[in-house]
Amino acid sequence: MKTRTPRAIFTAALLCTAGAGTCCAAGLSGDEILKRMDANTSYRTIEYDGTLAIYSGDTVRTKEMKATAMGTSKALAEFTNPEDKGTKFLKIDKNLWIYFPSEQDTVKISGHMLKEGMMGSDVSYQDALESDDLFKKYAVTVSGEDTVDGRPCYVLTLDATVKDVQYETRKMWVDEERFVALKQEMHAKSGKLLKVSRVLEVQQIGDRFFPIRAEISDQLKQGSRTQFIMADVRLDVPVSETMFSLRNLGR
Amino acid sequence: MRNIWRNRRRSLLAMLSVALASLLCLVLQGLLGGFQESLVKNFTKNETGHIRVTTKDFADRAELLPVDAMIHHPDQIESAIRTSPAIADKVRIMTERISFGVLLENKGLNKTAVALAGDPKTEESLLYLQRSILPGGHYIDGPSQTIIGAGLAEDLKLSVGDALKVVSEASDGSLQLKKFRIVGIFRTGVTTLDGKIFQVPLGDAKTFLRTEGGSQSIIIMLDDYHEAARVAALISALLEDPTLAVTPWTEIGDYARLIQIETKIFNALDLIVMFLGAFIITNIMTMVVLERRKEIGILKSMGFARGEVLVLFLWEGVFLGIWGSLIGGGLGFLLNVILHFRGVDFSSYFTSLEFPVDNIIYWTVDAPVAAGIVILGCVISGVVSIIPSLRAARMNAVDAIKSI
Repeated sequence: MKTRTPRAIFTAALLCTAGAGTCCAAGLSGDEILKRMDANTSYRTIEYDGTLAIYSGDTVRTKEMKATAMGTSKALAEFTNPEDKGTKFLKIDKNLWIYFPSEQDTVKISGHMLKEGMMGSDVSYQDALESDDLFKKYAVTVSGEDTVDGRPCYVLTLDATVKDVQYETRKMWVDEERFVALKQEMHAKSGKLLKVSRVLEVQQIGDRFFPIRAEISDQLKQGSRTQFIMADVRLDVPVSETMFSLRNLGR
Repeated sequence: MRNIWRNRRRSLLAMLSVALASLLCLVLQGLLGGFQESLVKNFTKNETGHIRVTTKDFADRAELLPVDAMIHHPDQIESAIRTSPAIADKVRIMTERISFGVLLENKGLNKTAVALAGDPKTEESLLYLQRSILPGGHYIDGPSQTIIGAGLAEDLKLSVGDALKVVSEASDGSLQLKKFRIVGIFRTGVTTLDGKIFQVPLGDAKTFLRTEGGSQSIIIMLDDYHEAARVAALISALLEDPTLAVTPWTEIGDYARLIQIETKIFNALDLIVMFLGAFIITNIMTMVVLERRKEIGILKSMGFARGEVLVLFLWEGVFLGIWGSLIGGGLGFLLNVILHFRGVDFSSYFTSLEFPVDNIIYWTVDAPVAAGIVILGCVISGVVSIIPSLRAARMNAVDAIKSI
């Protein structure tokens, strides 16, 4: 049985969908729109080569990785760029570990540290850890229609229904034809805009439309944005479950 | 004098009011002085030095503690400063330092902290952390050793002998981990130091952060920190490097500016307190003028000029002010001397402060400031006596006599 998984460890925040639909617009309810998005980006396993480009003012740092994910809860990314070669991120459920080859040791990221930017990027560890739980945490309403990059979109508003959420509200622009969230705004409880994400490129893989290039910018960090590019995306390939273990990190 | 003691209770009340205002001003100035000295001392020795040499790129982003904006040949800069006759004599301590934000981990517990990396020997005369090491530990005497704040140790459940896992972004943007052995835990009483800081050797930090010998800053402490701006200009002229920023502590961040603004605000408050204290003289002198209308009339009919009557009453007000200020100033000075040696423990109030300030504040004793407050008290007493004195001086002799 297929499960809806986080698209990739770094793109969870960009592409995640959420909530249970309650309101109708343009013939589709929020629920239905999310289900169509789900169907588009669901997979049992995924493998891809990722590139993380972190822009800060005039400088840009590029990090490359090979990533594998299984189900909603397991993901492993190994960095391949020379500076970070061998550094690995392992996500199991809501836990995150980083393995450092230089010390051959692992560090667990927990608590409020999860709100920090990963590798100096605009994506927090918590963003990366987000999974299908989002559906249980937000109520979704269709608040209208708009266009993003010339494409007609449903505008969804996601309001938190529980306290334990990173963003109190989210506004999502979902492509009406391809059912991909082209843009997302994430707000704090005060209404302050915290992050903005945009999908820059969508690729058709089989009968699905898959976002392969996205950008997220932390609105609290001036002049900062992070682009994530996925290449050689392989869906539903055989992956051994044993690779998602602490024991395997040091190998 | 006879007039002043006619109504002793009233005159004593006026003096007491001025005395209290003077005492309050002086004690507040002593507290402010002590608080500021603590702030400046901690701010400069822990963070900026009296003068800081960095790259301009670092100076622009200093609050982020960037590790990718290094001075590539810090030894050459130090050598140039040490061999300059105009500057070398004024420099007490000069050392390289790197401060960087890190993530610490121990058994699944995380905490953000700031690493202070410097030459352990030199930092003994700068950070003084060796003085605050708790029993069972010692100061850094080798590579890969660290001393950490007691607050950090408690939060991460770490003890002497444990390994401290430090994660940080290196100068090339990579994420790095290094394990340091904890050889000591310090408790300075400064909340921000104990809860956020750990010290490591400079060499380890350079390797860990992949700086290739570069340093983030050169910290310079002067014999007299009031000379910081002038000496910074001299160093800047000496180095003639447009990529470098030579900055006196007074120009680093909002913190230094805040300290200077705070002084101005307190001085304005002093003036207000003195005015309020002396204002009672206006009331008392107004009553005195009303009570002595007949006398004023007689004096005027005897040929006293307006000016003479004015001076008579003005002097009365000033006299009350002089004695009040002298008594208040004297008591305030004495209190400041006592508090200078004993200090007051503010630890319960400072716990949540992010400023690097000592928990015990020792009042400053400043004779010129005390003299200034006494003079201020006298002057303000004179000023507030002007209106009732003018009223007396302008009285018509016949009307004054008739009014009784």
